[in-house]
Amino acid sequence: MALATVALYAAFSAIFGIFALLAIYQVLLA
Amino acid sequence: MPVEQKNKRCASCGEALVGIYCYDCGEKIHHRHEFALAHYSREIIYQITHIDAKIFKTLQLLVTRPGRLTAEYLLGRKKPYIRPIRLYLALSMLYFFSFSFFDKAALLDIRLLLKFDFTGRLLPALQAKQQLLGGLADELFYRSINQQLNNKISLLLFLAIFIYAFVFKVIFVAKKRYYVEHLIFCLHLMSFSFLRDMLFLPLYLLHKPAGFGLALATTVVYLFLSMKRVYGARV
Repeated sequence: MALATVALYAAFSAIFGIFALLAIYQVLLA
Repeated sequence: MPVEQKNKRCASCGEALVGIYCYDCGEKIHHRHEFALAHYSREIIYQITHIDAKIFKTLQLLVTRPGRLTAEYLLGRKKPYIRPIRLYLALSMLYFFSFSFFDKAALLDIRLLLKFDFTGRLLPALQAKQQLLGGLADELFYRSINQQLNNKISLLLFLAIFIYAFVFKVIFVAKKRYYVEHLIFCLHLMSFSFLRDMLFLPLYLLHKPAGFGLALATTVVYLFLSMKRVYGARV
């Protein structure tokens, strides 16, 4: 379960990072 | 005598009535005296206090017993608590509304992002945008960008929940749970994050790195404990 927690947290952070980049792109460059 | 008892039909769906609630649509049998001022006032007071109790019970469980709210919902105990989607939307709106006054503590702060931009492309893009807006003063410009960013991310985060639930579905494939069960877990998890961030707001304003560090730690611990409760000890 501890390993799953770390894997899920990493996945969440990665997904959030992608969405944050998308938001920055939409606000600044689009 | 109530109108529907005379007709023996539900006022909303027309189903035959048995008892004081329609067994088909849940509509309560209608009495004209419900519109009497004394009765109506009592009803309003009851509705308000009833909702308050529900909110308190839901938030207390969400904060003090990680995963319990999801477990209760998945066991079919839904009535005493606020529905997951309603809870998420309410907390998310409160979160983005309260953080719009404190943009430096918000989820995305462009000044902080600039410090971590190793590509060097963010600053020129920001300068170009500032030029485009007629050379707005730095403070005003950053505040406006932060507000736009956080408006965008509030919508994107809602979409992200559907992806998070898919990740859960993949990781816990052996548990043979429905996708929506994972979705409910994720809605509660995100609701907790919003609530925690609102509680941590003073800390974010005082010392942002300490606030973020504590937020990260609570997220990992909360995730671990709620997964243990909802999915059991093993993956």
